[in-house]
Amino acid sequence: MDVKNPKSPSPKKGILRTRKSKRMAFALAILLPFAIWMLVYMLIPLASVIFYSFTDAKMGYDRQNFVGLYQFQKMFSNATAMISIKNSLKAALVIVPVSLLLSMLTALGLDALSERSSKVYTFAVFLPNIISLTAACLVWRWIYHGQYGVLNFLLNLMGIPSQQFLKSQAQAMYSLCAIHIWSVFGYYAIILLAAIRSIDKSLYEAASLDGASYWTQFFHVTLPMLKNTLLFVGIMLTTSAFMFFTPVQLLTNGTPGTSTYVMLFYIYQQGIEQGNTGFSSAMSLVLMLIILFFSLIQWILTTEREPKPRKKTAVKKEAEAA
Amino acid sequence: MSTVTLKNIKKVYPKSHNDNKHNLKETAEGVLAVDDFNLEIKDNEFIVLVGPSGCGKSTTLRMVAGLEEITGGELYIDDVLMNEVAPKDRDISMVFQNYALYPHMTVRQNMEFPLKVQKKKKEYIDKKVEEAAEILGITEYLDRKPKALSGGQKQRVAIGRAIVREPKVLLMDEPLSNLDAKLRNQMRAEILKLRKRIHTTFIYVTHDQTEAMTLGDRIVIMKDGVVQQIGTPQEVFDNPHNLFVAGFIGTPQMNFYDGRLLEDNGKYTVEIQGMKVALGKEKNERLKANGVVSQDVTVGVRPEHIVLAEGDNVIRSVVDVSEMMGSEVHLHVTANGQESIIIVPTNVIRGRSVMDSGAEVDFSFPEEVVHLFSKETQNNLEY
Ligand SMILES: Nc1ncnc2c1ncn2[C@@H]1O[C@H](COP(=O)(O)OP(=O)(O)OP(=O)(O)O)[C@@H](O)[C@H]1O
Ligand SMILES: [Mg+2]
Repeated sequence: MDVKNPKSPSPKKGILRTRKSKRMAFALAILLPFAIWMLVYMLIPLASVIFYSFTDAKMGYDRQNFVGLYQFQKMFSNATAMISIKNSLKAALVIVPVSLLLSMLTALGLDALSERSSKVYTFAVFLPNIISLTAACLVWRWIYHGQYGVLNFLLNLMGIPSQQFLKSQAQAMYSLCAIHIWSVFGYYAIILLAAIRSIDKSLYEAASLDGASYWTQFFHVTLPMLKNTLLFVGIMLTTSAFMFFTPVQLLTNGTPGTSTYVMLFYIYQQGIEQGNTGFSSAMSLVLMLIILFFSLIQWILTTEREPKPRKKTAVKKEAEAA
Repeated sequence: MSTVTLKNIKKVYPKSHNDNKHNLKETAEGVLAVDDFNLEIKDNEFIVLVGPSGCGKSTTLRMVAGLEEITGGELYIDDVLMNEVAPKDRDISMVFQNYALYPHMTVRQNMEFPLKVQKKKKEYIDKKVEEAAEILGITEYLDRKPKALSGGQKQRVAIGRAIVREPKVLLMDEPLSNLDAKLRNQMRAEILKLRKRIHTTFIYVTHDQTEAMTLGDRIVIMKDGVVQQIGTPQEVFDNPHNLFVAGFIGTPQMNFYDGRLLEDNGKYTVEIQGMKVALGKEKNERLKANGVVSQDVTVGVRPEHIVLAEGDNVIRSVVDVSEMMGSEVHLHVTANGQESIIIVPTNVIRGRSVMDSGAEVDFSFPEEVVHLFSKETQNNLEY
């Protein structure tokens, strides 16, 4: 006699049996196109960069030999390469904090505006993102021009003598950084604005009733609530600062002297123009590690640590004493 | 610790194009969310603003807090005009419906915040925070983040943060409406206890009339931006000044019947579906003083005041359903197309068949429980 409930389904075989595996299959199906894209455009290039770094590959030669760390040795003993690393670090040190500050202030400003005017300004701030950077650089060349530039015209109006923005060793790098900052800050301002707008308004109301001033509210409510967004923006800015390239190529070509040689420019020269695939791959790898390093630092700095429980405090001690 | 006076307070919101679905009056400038609000709140009093959604309770509260600009009228705290005073200088704290706790701070840091902003000494802050935590029973959660707390615990923390500063006035905007029914009852009791322990003037907003009745020293009933009645829970329950208050306060709702009020030589009789109720001395005097003449009226009687009766001078009805509530039974009956609810003590009908659907019951009520409302103005004819 069959004692089992005849209606109960016999356990089916197969991979899609449980709910969990079904969900997995769904996730895989959704991610498959992305996975293929990632394979073709990210993993394969990455793997080949790593591979070529340890070879003497040159463009136009189809054979390469494994040379160990030779390319890295060559790089660290090459003065121009070292200068380009230094210049990239300098550029990042200017671009990241200044853009971050500028984006943040712009976002706060936009947030304070009324809804209608905020829309207009938001568009204005976003504009650099939809202008081709190549075209913009041509305009900037004119703005920075030593004789006829708008900037010098304005400086002269204020009684300051004309400057050689792009032709002075001291200023060229900062002038180029300014272009880069101009081209990116609006985008991040809008990301920050969206994050600011999503903060629960009652937090500010509670804080203002508790007597917190605008800046107290900014440091105790806005900033902590934006932590994740700021981390994202910081990492994106770091990456973009090290990828800083177009203005260099279009406006200075690394000059005056080597003062605007940045890593990506040097990699481009070595890899694309001179065909030193092995050398430029090694340098790309170093660039990637530098970006990774700075991103990690930011990540560690902003990661939440568990609050430590406080030691016994006044009231409890009193209670124990009594 | 303070008195709060609202004088002809008015709030106009600029008109927005997308919503026209409110019952509020519109003026040239915009939507009249609160109109001509007058109230004198005594020191240490517990005032409850109650009314249906959109009636302007939050708006009124937020004007007191300074979070919303006052369009017209005057607001005084301790006889000082507050209209233009910034929220932080009003010495008010507020508990929000959604708790509004700072998610990145621990419970302790949340509660410390108002005192830290005031740059109080550390020992003082610790003492105050721990006292408040003690009162609210959240001492063991002090080092947790809000996201690791239940709704009830979060609301306690929010209350804690509001009381550490010992504000002159404590505002609460539907603090319990995110909690489930059981927790709500429990927290209601806690708020009652809290108010015994701290000396502060409370203004409490709710749409729940039970909360209003149990918590308030006086309650303010609002509708469409207009105050309908202000009084102690007993007053508004016993003497509702209009049809809206009568229907809003009390559960189950008051029963309403179409009736006719007849005046004969200073003596009033009300006739409902053939039943005649002669009014007593008190009601006669009040109606006469108001110059009330014979007219059609809406008669209101609370379910608990109706009695099952026999004889000729009764209203005859048929039971639709009956709800056994334990010590009492709620009979839903229909009489001449008008529905009413009758509350009967269970032992009165034990063994009788009135509880069954379709059963016929006759009922009446004594004259002193009858409320008479004008068909025209919906106001209580006695007041
Ligand atoms: N910022 C605003 N702009 C325009 N109209 C508003 C604004 N805030 C509230 N109102 C309107 O004012 C009226 C009163 O709103 P209020 O928030 O005071 O109601 P409430 O009594 O607190 O309701 P609830 O119980 O739903 O919280 C509503 O009709 C609402 O639509
Ligand atoms: Mg409200």
